[in-house]
Amino acid sequence: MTALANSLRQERERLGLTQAALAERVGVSRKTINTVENGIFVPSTILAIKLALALGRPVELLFQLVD
Amino acid sequence: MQNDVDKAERLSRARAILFYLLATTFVASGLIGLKATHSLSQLAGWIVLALLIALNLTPFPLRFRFNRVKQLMNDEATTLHRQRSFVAGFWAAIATAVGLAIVARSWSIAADDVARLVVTAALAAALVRFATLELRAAK
Repeated sequence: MTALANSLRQERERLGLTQAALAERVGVSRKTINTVENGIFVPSTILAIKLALALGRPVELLFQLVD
Repeated sequence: MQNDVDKAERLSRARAILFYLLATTFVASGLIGLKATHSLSQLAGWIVLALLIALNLTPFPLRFRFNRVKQLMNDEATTLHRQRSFVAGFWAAIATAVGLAIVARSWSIAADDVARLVVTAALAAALVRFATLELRAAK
């Protein structure tokens, strides 16, 4: 089964942001950031693009399909 | 000073704890009320309470409040938690109805007691599931 992996935590930490700070930038709650980072929640396309823009990374680098 | 994200997190946690308390209270009142004769006003009170709880499980109470904290309390993860809580409530209602159908072969159960038990199980399961998902996501 194909799953969605992400490097959100690494990219966030690279910029020295807390989950709350990233949540503030993107306009979601901290728990949404937390669940995305832990792979519990697959974000919508809109949120994935917002996250990529906030972290200054292409969306396909932030999220990858894994088998 | 707390920003909107912190405020939303604090209020979401309070909402989850309130939902646990509501579930406990609703189950207790449902079980205490079994086999009792209810006046029309008692029945109306119970129906209003059940509808208010059901309404609180939907994003409806937050829909017409346009401040940012309310939007953060109803973001994508919360929407998913609501959907999952509805599924839990659905299966709890099915399981309770099936259980009561079996029990009713041996004991007579009044129709209003059956309705109370099915609604109580559905709402309590949905409240507990939602609260658990919200608190787990915030860890």
